[in-house]
Amino acid sequence: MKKLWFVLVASLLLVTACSKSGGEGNEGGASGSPSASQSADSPDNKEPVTLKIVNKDMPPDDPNTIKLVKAIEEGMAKQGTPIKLEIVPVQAGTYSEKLGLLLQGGNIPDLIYFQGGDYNFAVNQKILEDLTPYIEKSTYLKASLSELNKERMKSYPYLVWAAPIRAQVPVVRQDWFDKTASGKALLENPTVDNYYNFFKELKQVSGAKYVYTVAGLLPEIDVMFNQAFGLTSTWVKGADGKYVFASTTQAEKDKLDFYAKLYKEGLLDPEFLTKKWDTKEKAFYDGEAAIIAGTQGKIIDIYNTKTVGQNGESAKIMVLPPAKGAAQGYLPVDVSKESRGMAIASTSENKDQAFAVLEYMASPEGQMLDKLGIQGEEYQITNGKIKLTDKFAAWFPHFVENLENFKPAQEFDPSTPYLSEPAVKSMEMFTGMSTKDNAFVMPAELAGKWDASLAVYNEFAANYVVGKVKSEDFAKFVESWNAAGGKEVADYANTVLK
Amino acid sequence: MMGYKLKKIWTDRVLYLMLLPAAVFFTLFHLLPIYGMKLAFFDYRIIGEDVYVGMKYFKILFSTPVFSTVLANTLIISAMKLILIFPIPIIFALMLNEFHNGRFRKAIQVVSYLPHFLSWVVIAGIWFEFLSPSTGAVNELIKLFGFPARDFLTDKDTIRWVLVISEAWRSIGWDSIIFFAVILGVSPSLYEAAYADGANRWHILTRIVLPHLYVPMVTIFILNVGFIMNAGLDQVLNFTNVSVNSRIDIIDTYVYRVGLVNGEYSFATAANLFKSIIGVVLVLSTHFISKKLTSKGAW
Amino acid sequence: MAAKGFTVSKLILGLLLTAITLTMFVPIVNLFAKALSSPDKVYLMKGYDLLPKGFSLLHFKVVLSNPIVGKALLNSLFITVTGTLLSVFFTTISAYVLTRKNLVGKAPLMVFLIIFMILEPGIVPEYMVMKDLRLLDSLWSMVLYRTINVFYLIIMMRFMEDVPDSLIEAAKIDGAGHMRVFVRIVLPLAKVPLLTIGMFYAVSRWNEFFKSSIFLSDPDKTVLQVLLRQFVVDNDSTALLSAATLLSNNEVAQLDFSALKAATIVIAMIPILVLYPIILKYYTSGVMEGGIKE
Repeated sequence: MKKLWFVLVASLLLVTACSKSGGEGNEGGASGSPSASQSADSPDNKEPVTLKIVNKDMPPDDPNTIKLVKAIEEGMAKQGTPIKLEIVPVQAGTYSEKLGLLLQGGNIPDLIYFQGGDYNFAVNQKILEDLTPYIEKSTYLKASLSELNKERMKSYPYLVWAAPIRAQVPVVRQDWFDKTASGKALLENPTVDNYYNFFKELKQVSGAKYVYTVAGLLPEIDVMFNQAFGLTSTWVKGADGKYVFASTTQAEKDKLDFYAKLYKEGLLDPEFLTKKWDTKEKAFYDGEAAIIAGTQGKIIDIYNTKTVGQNGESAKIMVLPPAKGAAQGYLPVDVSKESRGMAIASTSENKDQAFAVLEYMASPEGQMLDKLGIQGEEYQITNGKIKLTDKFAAWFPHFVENLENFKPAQEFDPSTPYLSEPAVKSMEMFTGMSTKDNAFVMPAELAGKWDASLAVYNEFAANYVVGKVKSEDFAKFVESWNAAGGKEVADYANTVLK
Repeated sequence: MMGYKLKKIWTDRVLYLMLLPAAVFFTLFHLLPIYGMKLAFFDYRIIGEDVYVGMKYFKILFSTPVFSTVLANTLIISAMKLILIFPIPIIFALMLNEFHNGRFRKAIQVVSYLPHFLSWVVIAGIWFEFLSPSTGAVNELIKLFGFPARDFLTDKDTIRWVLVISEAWRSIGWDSIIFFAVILGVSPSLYEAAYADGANRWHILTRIVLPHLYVPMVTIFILNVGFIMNAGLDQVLNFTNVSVNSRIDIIDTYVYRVGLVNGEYSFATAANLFKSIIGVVLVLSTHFISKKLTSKGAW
Repeated sequence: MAAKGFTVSKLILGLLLTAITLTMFVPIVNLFAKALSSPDKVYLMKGYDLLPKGFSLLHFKVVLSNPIVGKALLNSLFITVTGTLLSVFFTTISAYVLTRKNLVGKAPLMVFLIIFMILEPGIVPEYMVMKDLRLLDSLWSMVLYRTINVFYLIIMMRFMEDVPDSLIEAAKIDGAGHMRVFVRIVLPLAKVPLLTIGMFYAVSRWNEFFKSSIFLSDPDKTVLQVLLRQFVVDNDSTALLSAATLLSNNEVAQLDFSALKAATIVIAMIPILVLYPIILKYYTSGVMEGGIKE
């Protein structure tokens, strides 16, 4: 006993001694770094300001990133705001997790790209700058934002993302579609029943292993069917006039029953649970899957290029309309906040310069660079027309993907349009057939419960579709959804939604 | 007395100096993080000083419904592994001892020790292939007998068994070494004497071999109880997926997700502190129990 | 105690042992076969096939031609080799000191060591310490982390206790200091336990992925297991083939991912397989003698 006591006392002493020295080291480090930026305040000093940027799609060794950074630095120097961009390397595979660590550790770059994930802590701890005043004053960035972008920024002004809403639309190969007899009826009246018949015929005529595949989660097929089953928003009004979580209603059950039928009959990929985005796409290119959903615009463009590359010109893709039923539309658009986008750190000493980078990228010159690459490499201007080269295939925009304010001085050569026809079509169809959702920004104290209740739903839905839980378990699921914290969230929803 | 000790320390000063690097490592990479666990009692701040909040995070922890699930999962998975896997290496060693053909025994040993040296990432890779519903060997076999293929990895009813069996798969050969060594160490004269007295093989097994195995069996079993709070972070991280996570989410994966992925540093540290303290108490008490029963402890 | 000759029960036991062993042998060999098959024939591979369909090194070429894989391989080797050397040296020297007779404070020191070694601080405080030590994104974080494992220290101490005191005393009388005794007399005697714990350390360092994935987030500092996990477990092919290659190169997109995965797993297993004969020789004899469970 005596020994143990001695040990404990000794350890306590040691620990206190260590912690003291640890603490000192810490402070010394914190005050050391930001001396280079002081010169930026004086306007006549044209030393470039160093801005740190972290972005998943800008790996520092990548030749395209190096080209992009160099072009940004040169372009901005010409305009009189010389900057130097220093990329903070973060592994792309687990980006959102690594970014969380980086920020939590107090290593906060000036410009931060967020991609999905839960960043409540960043807002709670006030490390993100409210971008509203900057955007108010801007010319180009403001003009590049769509209405939906602006609406999202109203309730969550920390992220700006001048890109089309990342909403998915379902696509099918044109040649296969043309082979079906039921396709025509489908386009005229895309009811759930017509879709079902179309799926059955499509599987037969195409020789695909199954019709629809998704990368693990059901929302990718929900884009087609949710609204038809009456799931028109995250929260729907029940009979008593109170809002309930749509996925706990009868409409959800009907929809899942339908999916279960598709699954059982081999129309939905039997291995959809373990599919990831790459295996899903591969299944489509290889002709194993006939329909997949992809983000409108640029992604549809990539699908089109690759499937044509692999299967010939006739295999170009066509966008399918959402099913018609109780309502019609793709998945309702969450306008509560941007889930990805660029943020400026409130700790940054060069916020204006950081914003200047965003503004530059939205300017005509910046957009040419961001979207098309470097003249002479990714594109050429011949006979007054923009001709994209082969290298363009590996170039994609990092800052401004929206076409709202993209007006190149020259036209595109008809042989190389900026976006392929299916891609343009996907954007038109989405705009024509999208509705707004009534999801709201979840307060921090409910965020955990919301996540937990969603996890309950995801698990149940997956198991229901594959037939591991039965129809009578739905009531049990609703119960466990409530128990996992869904009830509190629903109560809160009724205070927010009018 | 004190003076003598000081003098001895002084004469042994070179020895203490030799221990210094170890002390530095130990301080930096063990004691500092342990001191850092005080974060469980503070609100973590990225900018500025952390704020003392007392037991706040422990209260939240014990009122979070998910935490009880996670704790239950940890204990269930550990208990399954502990009870079901424990006898296997012993039986394996006994079986192996039946064979005196050097080449056969050697071949079995060489292959069965190998999985122990593979990382869980590699093992998961092997098992994904092994269990794949479309191409895996297991399902090929199931289909051969006319049953439908089954995806064991996304099935809530089978996933814990996948954890237990893959753990057994990894450790059966390796963990049998200790028992095998003990069996080989039994003096041949004991057998001869027993046979001379007319004993049959069953008598030999129960009266001679098993009593020899008693000490390592008890020690190892008890020590494994001590590590029951560790249900296998590396394994679960590599085997989990959305459709089964609620069945195999253990404290370690929970801490990782809440702490590192969602950035709830203080909360995660509180959960971890809870786990660690129980762990230390368990290891120490099992050590003393084992010492008492077999005079052998963890160290 | 074995029965003489051939019996039915022995046959059953033999079949059982063989079956258990086959569950290890078949999937591992199957991976090799899959990785070596030609890309257009991979889909023909069944889970129990032991020979490749067709033959091609293309999968290995694709994986190894990615500069990230090469870097990760080097990083893993650096951490394993440097870390193991440091670990072995400091574990042995500490074991020597802690087994000297009448060392003042030895008993409490041991209890103290053991308690704090068992107490797992968890990933968050460890991350903070690495940050404060400026070791994040440095390979040294993984080299220095957990340099001394207390269980391996104990194995070493058990050996040191067996070194005859007379040898050490004799050297001391000849005027040798502790350091000299340690290097000249103890180390050469300790070859087997040195190799044993060396293997313990090397294997655990080579296989470590969780801490590496947290402490090293710079893609240049990735280690092989982390890369492997992203590709094999998370199915993220961008981990192996950069996004740009995937976007632009149809040929790569048409490769069979499961064979690429197999090739990557095989690459991560090769160092273990190369060391395996040595491991079997020392590692197992170490355990047989020490009676220590890892």
